[in-house]
Amino acid sequence: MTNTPVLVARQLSKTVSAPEGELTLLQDIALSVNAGDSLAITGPSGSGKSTLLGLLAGLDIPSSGEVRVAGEAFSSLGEDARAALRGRHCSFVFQAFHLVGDLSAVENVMLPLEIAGTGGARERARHWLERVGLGNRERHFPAQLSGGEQQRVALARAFAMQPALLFADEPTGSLDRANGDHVARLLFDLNRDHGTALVLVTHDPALAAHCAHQRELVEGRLGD
Amino acid sequence: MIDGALQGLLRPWRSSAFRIQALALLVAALAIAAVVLLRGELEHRFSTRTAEALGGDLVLEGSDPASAAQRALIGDAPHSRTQRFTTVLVNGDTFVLSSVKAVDEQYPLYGRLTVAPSRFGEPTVVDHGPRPGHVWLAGTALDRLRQQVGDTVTVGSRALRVSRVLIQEPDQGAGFYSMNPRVLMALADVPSTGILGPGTRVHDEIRVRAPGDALATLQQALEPTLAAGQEIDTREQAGLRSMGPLRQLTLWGQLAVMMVVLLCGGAVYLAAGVRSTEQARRCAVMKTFGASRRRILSRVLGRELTALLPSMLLGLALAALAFSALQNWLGDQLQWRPTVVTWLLLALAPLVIWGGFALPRLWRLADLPARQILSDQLDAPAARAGLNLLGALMAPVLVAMMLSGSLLALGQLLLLMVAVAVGLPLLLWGPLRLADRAGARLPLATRLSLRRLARRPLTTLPTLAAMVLALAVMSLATQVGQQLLGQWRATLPEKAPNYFVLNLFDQDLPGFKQWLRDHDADAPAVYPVVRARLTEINGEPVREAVTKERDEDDRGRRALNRDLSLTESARLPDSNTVTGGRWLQATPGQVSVESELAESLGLKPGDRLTFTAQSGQTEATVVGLREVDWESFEPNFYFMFSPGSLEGMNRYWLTSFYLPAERSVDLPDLIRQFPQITLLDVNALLDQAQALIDRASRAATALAVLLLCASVLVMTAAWLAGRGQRRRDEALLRVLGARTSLLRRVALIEQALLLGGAAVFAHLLHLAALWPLGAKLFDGDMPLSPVILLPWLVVIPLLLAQAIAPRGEARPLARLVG
Repeated sequence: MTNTPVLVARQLSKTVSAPEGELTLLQDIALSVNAGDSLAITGPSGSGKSTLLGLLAGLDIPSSGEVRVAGEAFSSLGEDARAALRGRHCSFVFQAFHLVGDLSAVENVMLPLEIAGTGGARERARHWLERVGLGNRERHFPAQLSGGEQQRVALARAFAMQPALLFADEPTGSLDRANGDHVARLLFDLNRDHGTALVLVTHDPALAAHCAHQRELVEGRLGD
Repeated sequence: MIDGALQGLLRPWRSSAFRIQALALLVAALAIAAVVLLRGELEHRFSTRTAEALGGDLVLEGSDPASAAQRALIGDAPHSRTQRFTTVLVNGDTFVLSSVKAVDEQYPLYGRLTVAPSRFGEPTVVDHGPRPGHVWLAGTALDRLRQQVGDTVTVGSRALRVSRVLIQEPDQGAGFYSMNPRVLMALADVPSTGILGPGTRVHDEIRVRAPGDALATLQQALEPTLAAGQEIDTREQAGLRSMGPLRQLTLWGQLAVMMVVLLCGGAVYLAAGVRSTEQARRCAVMKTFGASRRRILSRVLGRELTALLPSMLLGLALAALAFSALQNWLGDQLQWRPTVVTWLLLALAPLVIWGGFALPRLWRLADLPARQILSDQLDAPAARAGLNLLGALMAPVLVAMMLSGSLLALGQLLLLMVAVAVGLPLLLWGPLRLADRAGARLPLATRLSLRRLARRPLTTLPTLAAMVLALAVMSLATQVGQQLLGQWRATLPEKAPNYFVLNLFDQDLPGFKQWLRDHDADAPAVYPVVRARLTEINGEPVREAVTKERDEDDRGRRALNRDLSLTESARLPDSNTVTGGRWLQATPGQVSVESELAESLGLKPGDRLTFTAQSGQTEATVVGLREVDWESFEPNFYFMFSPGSLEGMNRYWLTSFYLPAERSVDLPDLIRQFPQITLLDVNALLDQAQALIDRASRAATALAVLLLCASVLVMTAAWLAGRGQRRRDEALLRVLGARTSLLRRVALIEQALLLGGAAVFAHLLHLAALWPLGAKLFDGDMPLSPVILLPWLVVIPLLLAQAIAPRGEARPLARLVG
């Protein structure tokens, strides 16, 4: 872990139009995550955790404020440039896995590498599948894998790019306890081994406890 | 309550998939109804026209008048009596041999006569013959007699006033060779002419109106009473002789509409899949709260069907409107009135399509497990493959029955449809799998596109099959249409002969040809004609040689009962094709016979034929058989001899020529220069044929538009069916860092693979269909045409449109989280 911030958010807020008028989802959010650090954002259902994750990852645009990844602000970039910035520095693990159903396990892991134009994509993908214990399932398609296995493929896909920053959205939320524990262990092991900064959104205190820092989101505001 | 019902009717229209279904059913209803109504109208008109050309539904003809017993059998059925005979018209010292038809007050039973108030005057139609004391003459008779309307002409010993120029009778037929200038007079005047006496050659005819089943009853009753020299002709016998082009036309129309039905079925099938997913949540909730299977089905299906009914009815109403406009446009009194049963069947057709293609998918909603309500991934259960297949097979079969009137009539076509609808997706599955495997090492965009197609066979295969079918049918229909129209146009070139000339003698030929040159008239060929009867086959009298069994359509017997026109020619006419043996050589004594007559008479190459004419006998050996295109506007002959075979027999010459309308005023000069010739004006027949071609072209265009609509519907339905997954995939690629250009490339390559693949397979299908379709419609003669490349004219613009279309910069990424 170093003191170089990989992710910085300042005065971040998000409002949406609703029939009853403007609705504030997030207000005055500020946070910073250093390289190799891990931050858990917790909060009850509906508190805005996923909205915040979307803003931090540049998937959504804030109503005000700024998000910087590796020193570069999302707000100054267009759609393609934001995608490129994400591709260079960020990875994701979703609650619903979000594997491409038409691609085999190995092809799913290859996907971000190919998008970034990284050479030796297939070999690297195979290596990461071995790393998550699915070396023998590389030709299987998502529909042929269990939920736990799918999430492990998603983990391999996330780490294959050796990202500076990993966003994880309820990564164990769709799994049973045994599979959830297995995936959580893998996630934190890989995070530690590769010095990746981790931003984890969860409502599970046990999972959040694995992170170096925890902040709670209540009614759109982030606590200390 | 009314508001609620209206809302129930309108709510499904918010769904794009529902709108696609509704449009597809509208197009299918419109196409089916249009073809069924058109076929009914055409058959009705054809049947009526046939009866018109015959002058009645049944004609009893003979050299003697009908007997009292026969008259009693005819009874009160509307009928008309005519007498036909040949006589000389006299004006001073000018004599003209004419074919006279004497008609009673009931004439004509069908159709109307076209007459003019003066030579080259404006034609008008009338529904009666001349009154007693009057006579109507063909223009050529007036020319030869040097007379005008208003003059008096002597027929036998009776002077009659010329009151009209006769242009066309409805029952004129096409018997060119009996056509001396025609004369129409009142039957009541015949006795006073003194022409008819014992031994006079006269045809006495009674034409009877016997619609529907009455015809068969009357025919059966009259047949045992026929005396020697008497015979019966009916509209059915006459219709069989000349219904070929209509059969081609309706079969082709039915083929195209079956394709429209299949395509619309494909669109309904794909859209029903989306609708089924859209309704899955409602069904799961209903089930969770205890709704029975029956209640779910009645609610979901009932609402869907009720909301779809207006578009089905609108399709039917549009077809009815178009049909009514067509009837008004065609005019005259022949309009066909569809029965209530026909309308009911037409209303049923789109329901059958919906039942076959959508119902199996929607039906399975009732089987949705209630526990799925707990899942966020609510998908409709897949329909059972067997149920889908059964629906997809049964619906076209039932529609085909409606289209053809009977399953048997469309048997071959139906088998072809079933083979295509089931076999085509199966055939496409193999190449799709192969392409998927071969694509494993291809660049990302291509691989993603290929995988999208190959890993979603339930969407890809019906879409691909529908597109292949649409494109193949489009190119095939265009080729078939072009070939059909081309065939007809070939028989009717721009300067198709509009006058036929008979009775030219040897010494007239140089002068006649000079007249044609002076008047810029084109004459294709000049044929010598000898009138003779076939009397012996291989030395055996013909009446013993020809058996009734072989001569099923009476063609042989008809040929034997009259003088035939024999000709000589060194060249095979363009409208003839040698089907057996060979064409004639320069040696005299060879004859080529028209193939259908040869079959009726049991003739084959090598047979010796003897013909007897007034000027003697001639013998010839059959060396070959010819198929003759009787619809061509060229002189055609049953028997064509090698040059020199008819030497020494009395002969005249026959030709046809084209004379521009503005030069027709010079025709009296021609008649005066060659007073003995028979000049036959076929302009009216040509106009009718040209109008038919024009209407057929419009019908072909309308069908092509319907096909195009149906294929666009299929594509849209397929796009809708994959829209959700496509959006999720694109969002994921974006999250993983993909630029817009990659997403655009993936989408474009996917469309290029789908549409390009469809075009390539459409070529293969086109090639595979050339032979059977050619055999069915063109006697095996359907060559490869550049039209096969037509699919690219559809595919390339679609791809270009996709390539340059602006892409929405939506931000769907956030939906992946949370």
